Amino acid sequence: MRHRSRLALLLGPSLLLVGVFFAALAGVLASSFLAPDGTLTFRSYAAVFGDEYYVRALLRSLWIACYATAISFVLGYPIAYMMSRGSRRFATIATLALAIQFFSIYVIKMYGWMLVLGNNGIINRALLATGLADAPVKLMYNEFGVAVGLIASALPLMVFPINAVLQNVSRRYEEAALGLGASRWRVLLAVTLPLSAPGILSGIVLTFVFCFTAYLTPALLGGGFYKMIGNVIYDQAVGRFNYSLAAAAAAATLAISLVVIVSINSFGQRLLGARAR
Amino acid sequence: MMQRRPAFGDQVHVVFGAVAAAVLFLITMPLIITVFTAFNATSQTVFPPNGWSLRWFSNIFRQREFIDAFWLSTALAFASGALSMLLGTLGAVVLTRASFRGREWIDGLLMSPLIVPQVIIGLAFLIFYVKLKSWSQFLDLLLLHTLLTLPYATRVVRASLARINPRLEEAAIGLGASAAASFVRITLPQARSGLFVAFFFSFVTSFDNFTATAFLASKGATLPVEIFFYIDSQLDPTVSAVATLLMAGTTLFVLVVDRLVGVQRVT
Repeated sequence: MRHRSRLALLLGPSLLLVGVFFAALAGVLASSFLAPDGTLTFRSYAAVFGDEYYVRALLRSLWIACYATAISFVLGYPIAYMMSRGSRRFATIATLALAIQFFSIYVIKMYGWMLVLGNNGIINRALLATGLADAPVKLMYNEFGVAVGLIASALPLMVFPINAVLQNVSRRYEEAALGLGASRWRVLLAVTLPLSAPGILSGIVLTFVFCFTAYLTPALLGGGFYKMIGNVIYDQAVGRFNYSLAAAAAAATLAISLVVIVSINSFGQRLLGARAR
Repeated sequence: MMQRRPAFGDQVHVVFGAVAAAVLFLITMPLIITVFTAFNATSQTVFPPNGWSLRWFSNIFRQREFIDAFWLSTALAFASGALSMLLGTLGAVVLTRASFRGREWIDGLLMSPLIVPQVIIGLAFLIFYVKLKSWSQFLDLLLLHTLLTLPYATRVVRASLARINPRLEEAAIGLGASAAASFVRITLPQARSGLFVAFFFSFVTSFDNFTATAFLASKGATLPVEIFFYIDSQLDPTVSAVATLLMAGTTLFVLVVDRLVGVQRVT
């Protein structure tokens, strides 16, 4: 018993830190509900949901997060698949490329995309040089640029969980299906894809939340022309010291994220449970 | 035992291989271009470079804020990495060695900073420091970064402790060593590479962090925040040069870590 209480002591510093974190989160909730004179009010929420500007930012963020997640899945699944099912050389190259992404600084990655997508970027210079365009095509400071940046930076979040699951799925199942006469595509759709469902679900959750709450990507590649809810929260809190409005927007963002996480997870549980039966 | 690889004529492999290779190339290309643009001769940040020069590298050292930010980021990453490694080890010991009710619950609590979006963590700490009291920018950021890196450190050390046979430690205690001494002398040396990976992971995470940090530091800030403000105001190749130096530094760092513990264990 004494041994146990001494062990609990070791957790103390970590729990204290997490306690501060939860106190800070509670502070966000409190600021969103408290008027300057300390009374309970829903004014900040009314301000967020009553203003088309904020509602649009929320809907815009939801929309771009949905399709960026879908595209990340379509582009990321083949990478995860090839890392576990492809040649060893491919696995090495893919691991290296993803490690470069992982170790590169997020700001620098987005800066790199600005050099690719900008008016003076490599794509526009190529278009102008080959005569395919007479004037630079607008590829950033709009939704397209933000979407590209989000997908590129979220891709590892999609690939890593799927790869982790696929590495542990025995290839015997796929070989058995092939042996029974299924085509390669049918094996993929009927065997490999369902077996990787747990990884796909966590990849989707991670990617969606990352995209939905992004700040840096829309700030640089949107350039103020495409504002997501993260930008609204930052502008209100840091630019205008309007903490209660920022807090209400943040609480709404967190609530929406949680609803999405829970519904994806319960949908996934039902899907997996249905198959187990 | 070698796993039998499917035949190359497999359509799925051809299509997926092509998609995967194209996507990996596309996400790596901006970084390669960034390096090339650092050597531009004029203030246009373009690829291919319009002539070659090293002037943007020397320009970095005329930008006081980049140098200061680099040292702030390094100190912060080092301090929060060390702190996370220490707290993470203490926490991991309890989570692997003791069984008590609510252990998974505590594990969930410790992992919670990974689940909450960065903008919300940033805002929470901003309001927290505004309402209470800010100590100094460094300590404010240290608390934030330790919280952000602690989940990784705890998880990594926990995984490495789980692989160690607790019998050895019990044997040392049976032979008369104190519990603390047997942990430090027997278990800790075996978990050495795990501790190192925890520190390394925390260091990188802290050094890279932008979003939560940006809420606390707008001027005289960490390197990523400083780079952000520079990009926001001008687009000469100085940032490309900074990026190139950072990438070279990171590569060196990864190679050293690879020699020490093997990079497979990190990613």
